[in-house]
Amino acid sequence: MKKNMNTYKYLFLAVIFGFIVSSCHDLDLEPKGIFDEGTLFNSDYGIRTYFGAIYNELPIEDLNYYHNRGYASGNNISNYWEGQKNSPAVLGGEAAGRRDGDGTPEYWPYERIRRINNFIEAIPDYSAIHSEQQINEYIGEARFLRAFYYFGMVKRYGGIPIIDKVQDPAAPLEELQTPRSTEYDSWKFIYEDLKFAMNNMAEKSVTGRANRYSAAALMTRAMLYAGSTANYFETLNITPGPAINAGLMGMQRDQAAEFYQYVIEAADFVQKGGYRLHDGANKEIAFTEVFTEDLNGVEDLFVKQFGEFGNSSIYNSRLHHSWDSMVLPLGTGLASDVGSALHPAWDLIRLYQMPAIAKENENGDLVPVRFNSLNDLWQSEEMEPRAKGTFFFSGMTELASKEVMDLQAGVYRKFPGTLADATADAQTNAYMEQYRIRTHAARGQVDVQTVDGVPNVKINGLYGLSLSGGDEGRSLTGAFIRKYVNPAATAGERGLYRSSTPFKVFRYAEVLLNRAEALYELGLLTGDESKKTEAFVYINQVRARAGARAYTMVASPKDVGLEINAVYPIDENLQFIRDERARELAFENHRFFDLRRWRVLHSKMENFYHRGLMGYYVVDEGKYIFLNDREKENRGLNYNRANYHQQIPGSQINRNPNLIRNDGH
Amino acid sequence: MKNLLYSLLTVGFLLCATSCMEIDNFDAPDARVSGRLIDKTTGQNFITDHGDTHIRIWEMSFSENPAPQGIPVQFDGTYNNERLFAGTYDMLPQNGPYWPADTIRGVRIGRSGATQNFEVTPYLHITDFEATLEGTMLTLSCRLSAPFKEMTINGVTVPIPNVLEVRPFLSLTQYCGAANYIGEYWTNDYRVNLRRPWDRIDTNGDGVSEETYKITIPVKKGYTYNVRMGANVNYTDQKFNYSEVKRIVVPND
Repeated sequence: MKKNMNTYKYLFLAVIFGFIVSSCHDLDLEPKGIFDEGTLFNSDYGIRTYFGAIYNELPIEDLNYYHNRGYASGNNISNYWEGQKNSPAVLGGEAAGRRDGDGTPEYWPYERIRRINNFIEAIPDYSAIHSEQQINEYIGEARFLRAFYYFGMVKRYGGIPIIDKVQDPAAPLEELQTPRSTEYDSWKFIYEDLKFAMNNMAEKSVTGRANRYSAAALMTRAMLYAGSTANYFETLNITPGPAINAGLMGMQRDQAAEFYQYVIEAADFVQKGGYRLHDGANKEIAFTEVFTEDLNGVEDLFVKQFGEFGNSSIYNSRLHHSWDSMVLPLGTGLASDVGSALHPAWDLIRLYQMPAIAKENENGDLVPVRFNSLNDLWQSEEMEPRAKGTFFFSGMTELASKEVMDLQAGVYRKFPGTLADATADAQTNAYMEQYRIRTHAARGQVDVQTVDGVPNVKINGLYGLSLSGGDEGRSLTGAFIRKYVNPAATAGERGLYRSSTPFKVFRYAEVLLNRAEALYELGLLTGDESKKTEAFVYINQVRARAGARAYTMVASPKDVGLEINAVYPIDENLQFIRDERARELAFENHRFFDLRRWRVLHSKMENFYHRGLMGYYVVDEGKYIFLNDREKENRGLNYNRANYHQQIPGSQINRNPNLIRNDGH
Repeated sequence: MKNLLYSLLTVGFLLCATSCMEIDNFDAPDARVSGRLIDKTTGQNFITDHGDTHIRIWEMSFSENPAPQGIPVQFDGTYNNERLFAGTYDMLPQNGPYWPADTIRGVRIGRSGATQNFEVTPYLHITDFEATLEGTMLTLSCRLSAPFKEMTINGVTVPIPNVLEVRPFLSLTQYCGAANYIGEYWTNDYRVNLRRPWDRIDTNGDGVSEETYKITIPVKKGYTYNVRMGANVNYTDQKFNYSEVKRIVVPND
């Protein structure tokens, strides 16, 4: 035994000795398991692999994105199922949920930009393998990707350091510490990249990869953001400090027209590419198909895909998303986990063309309209099909499960009062206490009571609402989200990390809306009436597909700025264009950023509370009414206006003291 | 052989065990600065609420681009911080509802303490503030006055920003304002929404609003409220200028 021990000891020492002796041996050999640049840049397959990670981390506010967590990127495993619970839609006023952050986590993706710069510098060396046209296509694609990353930063910080060459780590520190460019130059840098991409990228691409029209679509969005910042930055009256004085944050109103013009040119480019709105005989179904069918080359300009169902659905990752499970209620064939955590809010629903839920009485007070059934709301001709494609209202049927969305908030024993009596800011008042009956029914239970001698009065619906049970699993607001819900989901596809419906990053409808807004704003800035008129050509294209009535421009529009609490006057036609964006692009994570670039988010979100579209049964009349009550969680929202220009991350200033901080913080 | 191994292991263990230990022998910050924020037009302490305004300070001793720190100005218009590192600071009153002030540079703050007062010019004064109770309905009224309609800052003359709104603030404690209020009263039902330039408020140009703004709100029996009114203008932080605080006792009858 003793001998054995010694053998091991010597063996062990010998091995250690071997390691030590060989440790200084120079191993400067090409490792065989790593794809180096030469291998990757030699073929289209290799380049796609190189671009893969860059595409993967693009700043896309997709179905996993939420403010505090930032972009769902890489293989970062961290609770992306909460994407809906904490969605930016909450702070955008689209849906009730948990507010999570201001959209201000640090975003500083220079590591990816370095890879792109590296590609742009290296690829011309491979001219023996790729044709000149191919090389330009690749560079175009790289510059599209670079513009996308810069867009993610500029829309947050304003001017940022522009790095378009690969920096040498051995260079003197002063050369590496690039200062911020002005906000104007930063947007122009994005413009130049996208202009090149539009002229050089391929005309067509497979689903998930960008082509020249994707670049044009990004151009319309980015330049619209730039135009709005120039147009509205000064309405905030921020006390100028070092950043504003140097032009690092904000622009002047007279710089807006240039950017709006770029939007129009790029939108025209997309139109000439033959894109069109997806339509069909059944407008409601056609609208849902926009989000669930592959429309590459038709309405889709760029799509972000997720993993196939059953193909390595990793819990907590962003390879799949949890949309179906987080917007539909818990139930057979519906969500199998958590359930409905993002609840459509009245502030969005009210914008759609739909039957009035209240009418003025002889005293001029608003009184709830009586309906024979809650279904009358959406079965009315007045309800625009797009709204039915965006929401599930009470009584609508979910297609995959064939479940009827049974929703009711409660009953009123009688309703002698006005809308204001029952929807006061307070959650309860004497009127409500006197007449209203709600329930604490458990999930899956419908509470039936005898009310004022009337037997079997149904108090709530199967899928909500109830005063118990928190903010998940059942309805809080009297409707569910339908957009992006997979109508062909099989059993098991409605759990967390089980959804793989692709996210439409750019679609033609957005390009039309971008164009309309730019045209109208340009018309206002230059006094050109024909531009204003043209804007509504595109608005009405979007409305025609939606099945909504065409809008006729008001010749002498009134100012609605005061009405919507903005800090500057807003012409009602312009407000209609803005609202059209809200209607068409609901829950696509545009609203928060739109309100932000218009600089109306802080005044809209001033102690803001979400309301719902809550159906009640009036017992003594045997009729139904809808009230826009506050949702029961009663969460107040505010937006800190300093964050219109987010502060430069302190961690970056520590590394680069040349970065001047934004003002107003 | 064995002894050598053991002693080597012991030394190694000790090295490992102590490698992360570090004695923080730097003294805790103990320099002190305090002072008052003074309303230049009245000479009195600036009327504010907790957290509405700050003294922004930059430690200039070590860095050319230091991160700012903020010292909150208290309800009574004073501020105090006893936990600063001794050094040279730049100081600026910020966030509050007054015309932009100048940075005071190179303030030496040491252990013996420093006093630094700041004079600021409020955008608005709330004048003729009255509170009348009838039963359980409380009527608050005030007028607005602007000490300056325009101001020249760094050679640029700018008008007073648009006035946004007039609001009541009710509180059950001695503190009252936008940081200490009863939430039920912060609704659009109980405010005067103005959102207009000053010359449409003060049409005859005497510096005082033509209109008296009146807000009636329900209160509860048996409570004692602290009440004030505030108005704000569209500047960086949109904080409120306040009236003085009035105490309203609602009888229990």
